[in-house]
Amino acid sequence: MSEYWCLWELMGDTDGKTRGGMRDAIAAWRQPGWDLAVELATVGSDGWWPHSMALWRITDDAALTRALDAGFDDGLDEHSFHAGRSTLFERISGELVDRHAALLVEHVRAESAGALDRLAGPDAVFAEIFAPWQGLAIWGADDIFALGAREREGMGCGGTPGLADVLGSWAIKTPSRDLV
Amino acid sequence: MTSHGTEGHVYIHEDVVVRATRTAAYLANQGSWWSFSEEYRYDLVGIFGQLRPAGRWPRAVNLWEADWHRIEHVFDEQFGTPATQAPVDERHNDWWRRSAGDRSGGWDRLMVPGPGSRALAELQEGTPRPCVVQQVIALRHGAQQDFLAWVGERVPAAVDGSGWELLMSLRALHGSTATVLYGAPTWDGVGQLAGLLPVPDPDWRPEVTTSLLQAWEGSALLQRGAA
Repeated sequence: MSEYWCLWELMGDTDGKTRGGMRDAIAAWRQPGWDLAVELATVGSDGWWPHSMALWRITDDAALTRALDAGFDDGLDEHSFHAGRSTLFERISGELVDRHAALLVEHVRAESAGALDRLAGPDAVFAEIFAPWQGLAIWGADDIFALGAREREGMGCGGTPGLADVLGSWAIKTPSRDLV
Repeated sequence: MTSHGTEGHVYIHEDVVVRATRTAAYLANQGSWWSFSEEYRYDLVGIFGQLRPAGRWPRAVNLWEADWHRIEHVFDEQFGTPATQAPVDERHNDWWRRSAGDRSGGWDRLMVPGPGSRALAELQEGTPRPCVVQQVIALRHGAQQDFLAWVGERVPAAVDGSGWELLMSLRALHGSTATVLYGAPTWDGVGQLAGLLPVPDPDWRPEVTTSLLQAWEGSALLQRGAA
């Protein structure tokens, strides 16, 4: 594959491991060939909290292999979060829209491989490289108000035929002020 | 490949929650001591840390190979009456205290092998494979046996020539998950492996969690020339 995408999800706690701190830890992490495409804070009233996400674009196989060879001590400040998880994807349609600062991030599981190809409407759709019937749909708007308007018009994969499960949350590009 | 080498084997898969920055320390300490009577000692197939590009972190995986005779006696030593518990050993207690500082809990599963799953003795043949892709698959209740039969039949041919091999396929004894491990000498071609794996039957309703694991260098599956 020419490129990969990796979603990090960091779970903090309300006793110091804040979304602002997780943002700083993500920003400080350096890995050649890993470009931070978007860094997000999950909106507390629709998802886990405190919870942050980072979507990395991995430029090529060599960049992926280098990160694996770096092992456990790769410089990420693990004291800044309670637990982390990561998933490798390929992008199968659309693109992230830079001006979109408010997003709906959905984990989707299709009933069969190929169903994700037929999703229409998200800014971008990603499929897991090791389980291509599982993926990520990202819907965006310029701000929270515009996301709300888009939600009222009908947004998200819920009810889409061919999907077995959908779990989504609102998220925003993390502001520079500290966010618990 | 047949599963003759795993007959009678029972596996313990431990998903261990590690404290921040302690993964390497946890692996080394965990591999340095055995908790219970030598006659019942399990074989520690491997100790692994989950890596940043895919998985849960900081987390580790311990994979043990045993049989019911040993498991029953070890459980009795650990959880039985005072009369059957292992005598106090200060070296063990020191090891336990060190480990407690490195991890905070975990999720364990008793597992049995599926067709094509390799025993530790078989994993100790050929080139060592410290790079491991782990897939934990939640399945529809009742689909485990069909899924593992399919893995044993389809996967080895699908990955043949890629540098990656099916190491083990296991089913949880008390649950509807399966765990499949693939290994290689290096991480080269891990992206290509993803494209080679066959897609399971949707009727099994597979929900997959993939982790990329690095084996601790002292892991038994990496040793060669053992008795």
